[in-house]
Amino acid sequence: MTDPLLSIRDLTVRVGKRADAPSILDKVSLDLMPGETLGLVGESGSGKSTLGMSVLRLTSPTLTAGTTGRIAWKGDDILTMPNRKLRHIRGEEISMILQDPMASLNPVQSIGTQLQEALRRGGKRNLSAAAEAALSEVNIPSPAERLRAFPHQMSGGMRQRIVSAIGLAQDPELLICDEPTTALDATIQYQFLELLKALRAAHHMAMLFITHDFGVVARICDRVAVMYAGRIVETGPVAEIFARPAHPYTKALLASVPSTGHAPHRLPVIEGAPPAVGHRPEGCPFHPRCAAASAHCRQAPPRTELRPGHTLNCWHPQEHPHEIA
Amino acid sequence: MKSPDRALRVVPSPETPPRAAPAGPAILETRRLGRAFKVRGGLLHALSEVTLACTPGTSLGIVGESGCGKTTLNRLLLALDQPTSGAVMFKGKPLSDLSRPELRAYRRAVQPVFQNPYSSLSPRMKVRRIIAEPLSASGEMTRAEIDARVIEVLEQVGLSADVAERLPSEFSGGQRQRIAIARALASRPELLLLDEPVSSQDISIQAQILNILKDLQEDYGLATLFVSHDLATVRFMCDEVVVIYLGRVVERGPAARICTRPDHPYTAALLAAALPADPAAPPTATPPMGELPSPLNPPSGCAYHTRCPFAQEVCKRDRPALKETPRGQVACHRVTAEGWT
Repeated sequence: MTDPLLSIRDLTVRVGKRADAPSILDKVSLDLMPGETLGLVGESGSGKSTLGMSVLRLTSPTLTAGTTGRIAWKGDDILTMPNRKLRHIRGEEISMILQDPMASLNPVQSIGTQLQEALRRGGKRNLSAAAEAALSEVNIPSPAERLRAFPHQMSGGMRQRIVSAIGLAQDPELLICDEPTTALDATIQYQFLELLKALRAAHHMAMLFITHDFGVVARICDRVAVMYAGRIVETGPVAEIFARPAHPYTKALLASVPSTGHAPHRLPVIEGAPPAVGHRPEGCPFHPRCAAASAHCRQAPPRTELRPGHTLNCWHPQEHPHEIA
Repeated sequence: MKSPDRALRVVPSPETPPRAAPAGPAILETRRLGRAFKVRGGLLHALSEVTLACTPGTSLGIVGESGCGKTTLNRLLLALDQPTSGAVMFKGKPLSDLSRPELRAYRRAVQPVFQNPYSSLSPRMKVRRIIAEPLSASGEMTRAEIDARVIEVLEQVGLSADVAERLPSEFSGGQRQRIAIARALASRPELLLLDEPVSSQDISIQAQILNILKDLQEDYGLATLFVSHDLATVRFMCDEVVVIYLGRVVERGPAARICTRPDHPYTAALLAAALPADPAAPPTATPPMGELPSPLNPPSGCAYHTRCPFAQEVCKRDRPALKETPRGQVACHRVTAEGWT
């Protein structure tokens, strides 16, 4: 069996160094294999973006100081690695696309300048030809002219494709995507996801795909990790998690998404709201909102492996034996 | 193409009068409503010839992507902006002709709920005052009646009475949106104008808010106009759907039919882009293509022809009229009463 590309163990991120400081992430562990796309799905405040930023050690100094655990990139711990070495990994081996392309691009530099900067770092020689090729790869029409354009002259969808071209300029092995399609219109999101799939295949990349949208996860991910209040509550292959969600949170969240296929009389709801950082309950963080909760749930839930690769942290897995057969 | 739509009634065209409102007196309706903005380089037609009606007890969905004119429509319906052609009618009378008392009645009957409850609630007012202000402004209720009404509407949206003494900053996004809905309900409106009311909410909160709105529709017979970019939400909330592209209605029909058997290629593309939370969903036959053209310089003929997989010569040349079919209305050269050509 191949080794994981990225292996995170017991990653805890606190707001500051003190042991009783509120935690944003609480003992998160996950593995990402080469070429695999893992979806991190959760509501706002679940810690999914902090997890993505931690992988490149891009969190703020307060959070970096409060970070414990291990993030092994091809065996080396990113958390303890010297800055020199980390600089070589950022962009070259691990790259990132964020939600708002206007915040990622420099508004006063042309697209060509920004793209060529990344290509130069990647050791490319004929920069203008390479930049043109990079723009063609992300389906930008008349790339030669577009190189002279500025970010404000482009649509949101086009900007996000430029950002991907820059992110891929150094041929990374892992692309971290943090809600890259949230700001895009539905028809543009659809096309961007198709593009990402093509790029993933062409570059043999792994992806860590952060989103709140189960529809996006279903479209692009191989595996999914569901996050709630700073923890991964359930993880498994996408087909398995969607067909047989076993954590009460995953199950209830999937059920509450409206569908174009049918209109129920009322949507099943999860009462209450996710807890804020610093106000998370003891034991299983979901228990105050959980329909299946019992007195046990005030204790940290056990980790169960239901089937190979499908694990959850829960006292009361929602199994339906008749569906398993 | 041999004019396949000869047998169809073509609505609206310059010769025919605008379509009358559907059965039942409309609370709010638009007649060939248009709004053009003067911009550098000419006129920007944000909205053109939109005819629709909100009747008691019904829920109408308006669907389209950014730049299609959803917000302009909402502003015109709220009389926050004046149309450059056509009219918005309140109970049969154009908004511009309403007398002062009639205008007050309109303001009471038509209430908005906006997308972002962080900007739609005053941070300095306690919830009681946020909800009571429109009531005290009318001058028709006593202090005690107003206090009772505040508690009543808070309970209708699932909040307790003690919420009234707190500030918006003490609440989460979902609770704030409930407060915004409570404020809209306070004056006993007949129609709620909901502009993307759940788009900024988390998934688990969206379902809560949508259920509250559905309760209000059913329990109080409240009419709603639901503006959204998301077909799935509209399917849940609405009886009828109007799909808008670049300021024009391209299709309209019952929500269930629009979301399963769309006529217009743009509706089909929107449906394909509403990604189902199901990895086993079959691939779509009509994937969305291309980008939204500039509304300043819209394509000739059918504005969708630049992105349409089924476009023909006629689509580039002639703008298709919105025609009646047994399934609703559609503006497409390729669709006839019988179906696809």
